[in-house]
Formats: sequence, structure tokens, C-alpha cells
Amino acid sequence: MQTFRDDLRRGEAVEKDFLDRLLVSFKHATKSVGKNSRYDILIPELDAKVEVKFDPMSRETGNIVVEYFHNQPSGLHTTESDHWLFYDGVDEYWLTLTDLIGICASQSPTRIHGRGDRHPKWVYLVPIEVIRKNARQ
Amino acid sequence: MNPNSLLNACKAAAKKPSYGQALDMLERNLDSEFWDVAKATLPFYVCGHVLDLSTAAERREYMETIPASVYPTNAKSLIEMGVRKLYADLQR
Repeated sequence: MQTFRDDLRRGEAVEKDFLDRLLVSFKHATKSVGKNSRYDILIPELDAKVEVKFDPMSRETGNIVVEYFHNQPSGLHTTESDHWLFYDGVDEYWLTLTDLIGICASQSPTRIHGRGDRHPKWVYLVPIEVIRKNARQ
Repeated sequence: MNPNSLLNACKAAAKKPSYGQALDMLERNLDSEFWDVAKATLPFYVCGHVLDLSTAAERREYMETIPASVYPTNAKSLIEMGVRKLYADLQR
């Protein structure tokens, strides 16, 4: 059975893999430091910050989880990332923050209790089809 | 509290003529322990309300009712982005 720690490790590996790919074109790209960082990867050459979301469960549930409140404003409310990358283990989808907020604004949020979480989270469960339709190439 | 009750409260508040009135309505209708999550949810519902206003002037006027020191601090920019995306989708 996958544990919270396993999930975290896999998520970090995905970020590292993505950064390695970026470094081929953008040699100053860096990964954020610290768990309270409001972005995952900084690309100074593009003046862009990227949030990387690894969500393998979305292949089973059909939904991508987008958080906005976890005992305090979080996720969409606190991000500094203007680009979001969702990776489900097979496919990856790029969205701008504007697109993502607009998508969520046309859905209903829900409350979930994540593994290893002390407090419930308020999230949008965005159908993968909607993400795919709005993703940038 | 049932999540649906909270969401219904946010939906109703989003239809008020100003953001301040929407916040007041949430505080009147919800227990204080739910104010923060309700105020974090409200901006998403407000996007649709702003888009439904008849004219650009009305939309601008509504946006001006969002207090400078609002909670969460990004509420105004979040609403602006949401409206922009919903509007772009309508134009397609």
C-alpha cells in the first residue's frame, strides 16, 4: 500500500525529472526550497514559475484535484506560479493560472480528507477531460 | 456543517450587488468557524456573477467594491483571472 511518504517521494521525483528536462533549454531553472514555497520550479529566463502536480490517482478517478483551502487559504489562493503542470503518470497537461481559476469557477468545490492530513481540504475535482480540453500545447 | 450548506451560502452571497454585502451575508448566515473557508470559496462564485452583469461598466463597478484589504488577499486578482477566462470561453 502506498503511504503519504511514498506519494511525497514520487512527487519530488517527478519535479526533479521535469527540472532535468527544463535544464536542457533553460540552464538557470531551479527547484524551490522549503515546504512552504509557493511554486515548484523557477525559470528565470522566462520569468516564469511553475507548479508541478503529480496526480496518478486521476487516472482512476477521472478527476484532477485542485486545492484552495486547507485550514487556511492554500493552493490557488497562495500560489505564485503562473503555469501549472499536471502529470498523471502518463500524460502531462500545461495550464495557465488564469485558465485554471476560470475552470474552477465553473465547477463546484468539495471537501476531502487527504491521507496524512490533519484538517480537511477544500478542493475542486476537475474532470480530466476539462483539463485536457484547456491544456496548452 | 454540511458542505452543501456552505456552498449554497456562498452562491447566494455571490449574487449580492457588492462584495462587501456578500461578505456581510456570509458572516450573518454562517457560524464564525466557517467564515474563512466561505470567504476563500466566495471569489470563485463571484466570477460567474460578474460575468453575468449586463455591461462592462457594471462589471468594473462591482470590481471596485472589493475591499483593498480583503481576505484572502488574492481574492480580487483571482476574480479578475476567473472572469477573463470565462469571458474568453464565451467568445469561442
